[in-house]
Amino acid sequence: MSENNNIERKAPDKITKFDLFMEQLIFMDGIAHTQGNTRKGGLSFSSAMGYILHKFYKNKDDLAEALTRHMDFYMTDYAWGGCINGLIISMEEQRANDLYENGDSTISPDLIRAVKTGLMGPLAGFGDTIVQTVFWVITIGYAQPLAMAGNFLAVPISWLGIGFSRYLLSWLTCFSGYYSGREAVSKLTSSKLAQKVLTVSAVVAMCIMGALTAGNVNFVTAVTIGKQSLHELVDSLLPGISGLAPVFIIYYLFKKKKIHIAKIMIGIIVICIILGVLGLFG
Amino acid sequence: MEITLIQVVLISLIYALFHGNGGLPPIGMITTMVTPFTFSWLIGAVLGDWKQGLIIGATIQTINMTPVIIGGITTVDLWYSATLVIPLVISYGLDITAAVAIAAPVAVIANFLGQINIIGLFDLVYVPLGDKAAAEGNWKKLLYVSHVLPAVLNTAFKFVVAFMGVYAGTAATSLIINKIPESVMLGFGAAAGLMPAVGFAMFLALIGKMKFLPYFFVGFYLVKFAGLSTIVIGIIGLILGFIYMLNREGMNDSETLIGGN
Repeated sequence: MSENNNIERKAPDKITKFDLFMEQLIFMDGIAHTQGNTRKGGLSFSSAMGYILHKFYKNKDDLAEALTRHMDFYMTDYAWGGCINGLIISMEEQRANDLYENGDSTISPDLIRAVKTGLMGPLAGFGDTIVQTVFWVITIGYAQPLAMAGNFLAVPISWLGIGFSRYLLSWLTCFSGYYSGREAVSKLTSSKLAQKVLTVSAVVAMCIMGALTAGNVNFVTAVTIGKQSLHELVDSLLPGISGLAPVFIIYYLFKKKKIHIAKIMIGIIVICIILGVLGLFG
Repeated sequence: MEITLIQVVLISLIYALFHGNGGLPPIGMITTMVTPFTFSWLIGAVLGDWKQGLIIGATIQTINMTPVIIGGITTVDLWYSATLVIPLVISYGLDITAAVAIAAPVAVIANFLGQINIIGLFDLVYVPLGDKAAAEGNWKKLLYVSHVLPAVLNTAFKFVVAFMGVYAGTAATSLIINKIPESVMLGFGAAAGLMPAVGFAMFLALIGKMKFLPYFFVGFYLVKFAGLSTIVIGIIGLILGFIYMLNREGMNDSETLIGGN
């Protein structure tokens, strides 16, 4: 780092809450556009960081180095991942200040990388459960019947409950990540309260998913045995089997047999058409 | 009633702007992850009946009631189905049940194509450009490469795809659909009825905790045989979740008591 000592650096700017707000807006918008398999959210992360980092690193080489390290593969639950953004910003700020004052910093690029990749996994597990199961499941369970009845309220409810709530969450987590620091964020996913929230929300999500399965999965054939139709007979022997069997057969094929989901879906369509031609549906 | 060219352009534009993966900045904020609800009423409004559009959107939603993206995998492109099917119902007078029957295969195929084109090919353009901009330390150029360029390219691509589908597809489909034998249409309908099973199976495999499978059956049978609404099921789930937590804490307490004595 001795060569860096000779570089003239300008003092880093202070950032405001508005900057953090804009950074998350840029990031959340970016991940909607570019989610390729090679980097996932990396491009968005780097570009959103660029909005903040150019205020810290006035030197072009420092900025290039920082932007390049944030181009790495990045994937988590992006709404809860806001605290990673906030945390990384606070670390980069400290590094920029150290570099300006001493020409060297204890916050090394490797440490920043390690913190980022270390938090990706736990936050993804935590966030997926909350955002995808609870927000989605409860909102859609509430809004879809409204929409079926032609009630316009379904539209704002689904926007607020699923889309906007993710943005709100990402801003809140970003602020808390920036202001509360590394230990607090690491503790978040392992705290007792978080585990309780996860458990209760997992139970709620399973209940609602079961409810939605009952309302939506329906496999009815027109085959009759004597005077009674086949599916009524089967359903009276094994209640609810016409709704449950398809779900668990597909679960078995996907999870245990590792058949690609697109193949399963195309298979369902082909089989249904064949069964239809054979006259099983009426 | 025929569909006019202006209507086709407007519908394609709505699809391009509102499609969940990459709506434009202010729109993307509210539409990310939300399927047909977001814009089915808008397409309906363009065709002169927003309420009918909303109802068709809600019906198409039943093809998959689980999150759009589960564990990084998208299963069906319900946006595209809605875009094609709503004009078929409102302008060409197709029956809603038949509409949902064709919506299912369309959603599967459209999702397949979308994965290849937008995620696979376009990223080969954005990422190298982004790497270059980052290496130059040019943060404005990086912002341009990661936001402006994808917004324009993705939206234009989606507009073209939707336009081709609506312009060429709807008229042709409405002609063909009357020629398709009823037994095949019934097969499509049965497939549409099975598509949600894919969503729920994916949910169980990737997100749901199999440890809590009994609660899945609680929800299922309460709806099947008691006919409760999902809101009530949500409340019951919350109560069951808390009881589960209390029981676990109770067991831990007794264990520590025994250990302490």
